[in-house]
This record gives sequence, C-alpha cells and structure tokens, in this order.
Amino acid sequence: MSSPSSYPKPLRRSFNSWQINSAREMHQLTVKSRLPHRLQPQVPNSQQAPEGAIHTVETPHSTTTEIQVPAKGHNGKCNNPQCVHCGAVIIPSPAASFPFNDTPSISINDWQIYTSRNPILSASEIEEFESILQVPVPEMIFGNNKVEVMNTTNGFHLIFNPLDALKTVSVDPKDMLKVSYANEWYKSRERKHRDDEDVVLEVFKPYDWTYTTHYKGTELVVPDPGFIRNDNYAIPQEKLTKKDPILFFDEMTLFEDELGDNGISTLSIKIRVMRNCMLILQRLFVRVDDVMLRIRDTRLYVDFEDGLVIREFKRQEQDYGELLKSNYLHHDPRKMLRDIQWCASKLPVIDIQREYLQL
Amino acid sequence: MDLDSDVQMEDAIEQQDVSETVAITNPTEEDEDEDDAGMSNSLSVKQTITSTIVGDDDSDEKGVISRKPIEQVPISTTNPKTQIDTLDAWIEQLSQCKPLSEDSVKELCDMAIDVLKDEENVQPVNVPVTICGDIHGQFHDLMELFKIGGPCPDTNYLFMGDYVDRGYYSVETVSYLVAMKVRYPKRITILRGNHESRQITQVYGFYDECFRKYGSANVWKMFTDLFDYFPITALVDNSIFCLHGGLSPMIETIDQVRELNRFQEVPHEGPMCDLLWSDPDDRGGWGISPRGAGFTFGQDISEQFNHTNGLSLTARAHQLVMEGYSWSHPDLVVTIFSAPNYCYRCGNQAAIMEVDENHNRDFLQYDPSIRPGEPTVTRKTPDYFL
Repeated sequence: MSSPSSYPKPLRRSFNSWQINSAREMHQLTVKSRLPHRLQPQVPNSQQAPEGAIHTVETPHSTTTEIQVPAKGHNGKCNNPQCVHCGAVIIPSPAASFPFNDTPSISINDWQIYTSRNPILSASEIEEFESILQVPVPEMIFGNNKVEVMNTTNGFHLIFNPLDALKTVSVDPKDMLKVSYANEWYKSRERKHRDDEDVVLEVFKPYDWTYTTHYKGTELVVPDPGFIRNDNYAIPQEKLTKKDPILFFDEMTLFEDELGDNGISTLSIKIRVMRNCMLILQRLFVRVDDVMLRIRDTRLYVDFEDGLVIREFKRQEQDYGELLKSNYLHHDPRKMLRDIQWCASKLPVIDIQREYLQL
Repeated sequence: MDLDSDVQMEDAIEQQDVSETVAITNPTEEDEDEDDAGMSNSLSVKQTITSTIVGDDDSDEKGVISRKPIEQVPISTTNPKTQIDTLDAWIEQLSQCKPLSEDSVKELCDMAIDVLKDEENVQPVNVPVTICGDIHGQFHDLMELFKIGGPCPDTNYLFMGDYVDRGYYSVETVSYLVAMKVRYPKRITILRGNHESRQITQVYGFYDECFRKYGSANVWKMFTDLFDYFPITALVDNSIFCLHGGLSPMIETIDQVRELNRFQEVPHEGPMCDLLWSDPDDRGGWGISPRGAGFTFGQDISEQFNHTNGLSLTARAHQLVMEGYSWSHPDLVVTIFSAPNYCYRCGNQAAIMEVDENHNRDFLQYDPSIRPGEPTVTRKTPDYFL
C-alpha cells in the first residue's frame, strides 16, 4: 500500500455487505422519493382513502370542509392519488413514466385546483408558439405546464401558463439590455466587418431576451367588480404561518433560458393548498452576469373560508456590481448571486402592488 | 480501417483478468508493446486505486469471479503496458461513477495533454463513427449512450463538447471521456464546447462540483487547463464538418480553421468564439443575437460553406431539442443533443448519429436511464413558502 489518497475513500473489504447495503439504500431512495413528505399534524379521517373519496374535516369554527382528490371537475385519468397516511396528494405520480405527465388536482369545498407538468415543447409545438408570439421561445419551454384555480359557485377562474406569460415580454427596443461584453464584441466586429456587406451588425427584430414578464396570471373568468387595487390589502401571514397540513403542493418551471450562458431567466411557480387557504407564488428571476438582477413575484392568496382573493405583485431589482459589493465577505461572492432565495432576501424592492377580490 | 492496437491491448488485459491475478505488474518488466496510449515519460503512481464492485451490466463470467481490489497499479516510464493497466483501472472505477483521486486526475490530464496537443484544429475522423452532442455531467445517461451506440472502442465516437456543467456528475463524466481518449486515442474524438472554459464553468456548476468533491479548485484547474488542448472541430471523411456551435463570418474555408491558435481560453469574440457559440437561424445571412453578442447564420451561409468546402453536412450540438436531434437549413445542418431529460427535468429525448462506411446516417434516440433514487421528475418537499 502506498500513500493514502484523499479521495475517494477505499471501500471496505467485505464488498458483499456493501453491495447489499447499497442496494438497500438505492431501493429506499426510490421508495422514499415517491412518497409524499410526512406532514404533521395528520389530517383526521384520511385513513384508507380510496381515490376520489370525499373527506370531511371538522374545522375549529365547526364548519365542514369537503376535500376531494382528484378535483370534482377532473377530466381523464388521475395518477396522483391521496396519501392514505397524511391525506396529501402524491406529486409526482407514484408511477414513473417517461415522458412524464402529471395532472394532479384537488377540490376544497367549491374550489378546484389543477396543475399540469409536462416535458418541454416539441419542435412542432415550438413552431406554433413562435408563430403566436413572434419572438423565439426560451431554451427550456414547458409550454404545457399550468396552474389553475377555479371556483364553481362564484365563477372565478384564473390560470398561470407560459404562453400567456411570454405574451407580456417587451419588444420595445428601449427595454433591451445588452450582455456585459456586448460593446467590446460589437466594436471588434465593426472593425473587422466594416467592408463586408454580408454581415449586418444590427439586431433583427429585437425583443427582451431576458424574458422579463409582467404576467400575473390569466383571468379567464372573474366576477364583478373584478380585482380592486388596494395596496393595503396585505396577504394575511398568520393563516399561512400556522403550519396547517399541506394537502397539495406542487412546484414547476414554466420557462427557463440560460441567456446564451450569460446568466439565467427562469419563471417558476409554486402552490400549496391547506384546508382553509392556499397560496401561489410565481417568481421570475433574471440574472444577467455583470449587468443586473431582477425578481418579479406574483402571489395569489385565496381564503376558502372568507372567499377573499388577494393578488400581490412585487418588483425587485439591482445592479449586479452593487449586489456583489454587499456580499464581498463570502469566499465565492458570485455563488450567492446564483441563489434565488438569497437574492430575493437581498434585492431592494422597487414597489409592491396589491389588489383584492371579495367573492 | 487500420489495424488498431487498442483491441489487442484489451485482449491482453482480459487474459490477466481470467487468470485472476489482478493487474499488479512488475514495473521493471520490459515490454515491447506499442505505445498506443501516447503517454508522457514523467509519470508515477502514488495513490491506492481501489477496485470496484461489479456493475450489474458487467455480467460476463470473468467479471463475476475475480473482483479483487487493485491495490497498486504503477505506471512505468519504460513499460507502456502498465500505463494501459492503470488507465483500465481508472476507466473501471469511473464507469461506476466513482471519481479518481486528485493525484490520478493530475496524471490523467498530463497524459491527455500529450495526446491532444498533437491533434489538429480540424481533427480528421474516419467512418464509421457515432457523433454525439452535449452531455452536461449526466454521467448515467452517458453510460446509457454507450449501451445504445455500442461500447467504445468497438464503436468509434466523436463528441462535440459540453461534457461539464449543469448535471451532477461533471467530474466523473469528463474524467471518463478523457481517460477513454487517452486509452483509445484513435477510437474516440473529444471536441471542445463552450462549456469547456474557465469562465463558464465557474458559473454553471463544474467549479462548484470540483470544490465539493475534492475540497479545492485544483481538479477544476487541471481540467480547464486541459480544455485548452481540445480540438475545436473535426472532419469526418472530408464530408461532415463537426463542431460545437456553428459557423463564423470570419471563416470561409476549413483551412482557415487550421490556421487558428486554439491553445487558449475560449475568447469572447473572433472566429474561435463563433465556432463554439453561433447558432443556425431561419433568417438568411449573418444575424446578430439580440443579446448583443454572438452570430446566427442562415441557410445561404450554410449552403455556401458546405459548397466551398465540399461538405455534405455540418453537424453541431449546443442547443437543446426535444427530439434529441433537429435539422436546420433543410438538410445542411443538424443539431445533436445527447443529454436526455436535460437538467433532470426537461423531459427531452437524446440522440446520437451513426455514420456508416457508406456514409449512411442513422439517428438513435434514447430516453434517460431511469435509475434508483432519481425519479424522472424530482419531488420537491412541501415547504411553507410565503
């Protein structure tokens, strides 16, 4: 034996047991990854729940909450049953499939919530999108993903989807950013191609390639008088921090683009549904390396008990160098600028708009 | 096809395996074997190489009986055979997704520089060959690729760059491909992609992964220094021009690529940058990216380039496509992307392109290797986000 290597550590001699252990671990990983997270406290009345069963839960106000999985209006097959232990909808589907296609749903009283997760668009679907949008779609375009919330009694129907989000991307040349080295690149090209008629150094059909969207969801049906702007209507934190069991949780990307390796633009969406309320957070994160960072958050809060819907739109933005300076003590300061959570906590807020709807 | 000594070497090793005496070769033993591994003369082994457990795909008989730890595989300056043994041990270890030690990576990179520095900017490649696109650290899918396309060295491979970043196993992926390159230099060609660069890898994962797996940036530095030696294009039988990105307005003939000095970090502008970065576009002529840097090229440009250089096709990678491959400029340019379910969530297929002796082309599409612990869709733990 010669000098020990720092990495990797030598295996134990008894590799038979190692093999068995490793196989066990792998198996456990597989099994665990397909079980929903155990939520405490457990929802009562959720034992031995067959698919589509109706559960009634006594609330503290002694009103009855009717939970149904899949949702009452669910069309087609549902591969996302309810967990018999905790009552949460199992997402992703317990059966692996490729290409994956998950369409979980849940009903809470007269509210129905649907999400849909699919692969990126095929070539022909991209063509269709681009003919509508008239701009190139982001590199990763999850065009068939969606988050949908509706109320059957009051005729409320709101949907978040990538196509409508991309429709709000600016094509105004004044909104165009340039990558950090664009000037350097342009000048050297200008010199080299001065006499070259074939090389046009003007951008044909400019568009906001950072895909900064101002999308707040598509209002398919909103009962009169519609959303009313009132910045004082803050989302009630006390209900959301109460740690009621999460019955439905999903998270997905609507689109993502690596900006030709100059940073990232990603529009993602999260939803959590509890017995008495739900929250959607749609977040756009844009980082153009050495240029700037940007976050656009849309939150949709629905209170099932009071029939109150609040939508909040928050903008954050800062110069890349400025944010980097505030983080100079970190051993790899740029690393933090790739952490969306960290950026969300650090980026200065430009403004917050709120609107509400009382059903 | 030339008689390739690689295969003979393989046989020699198999003989050793069958006799159950695992590769501890006397370093002083003189051997007349060909030095097909093209190694330098300044190598030594310090570390212990631990042999590995048989993978379930390695089901041949000899594999089952004799898996003892390879305790030490010395590399001899005078004995190429022990170098082969070492490389085979490394490849075996890597094929189970276990990274090499830092010292081994150093030696591997030194050997690889010796092989790659003599390759051309336009590396000639013979048919038959299987042409592959981006891998991006998706090691298990790379293993799947070799299952679909046939094992190397029985099948010749040409990879068009982007081995690192984004996936979880950039270290294992690039180590494996480089080890294969050193072991079978005539059987596998590895081009440079725009991610084989110091700057890009610091942002998109390879740097962080090296730091995480080795506790320092040394291995990252070794590999990124090595990337400067990777050839930037390849020419398959004078007919298919292969590169990572696309064409450049400053390159009209393939000879102009040969004149470039490629031994440097990928520059921000100029022909070498374009070859690794540019994209085909539906719009004719040369376009400029709305981002303010980078070119797009239209069908007229591809037609002219293929005509001037007597090419039938330009094959490139660089862009994600749902089907794994995609034609542009009807049949002049093909994009090949070989990372299925890119970033473990895109749900795309991957593809490789086989070109046979008669230049017939065949695309093989494949899905991600579904493996334990990594479902096709990652489950997020519910969190009480606000």
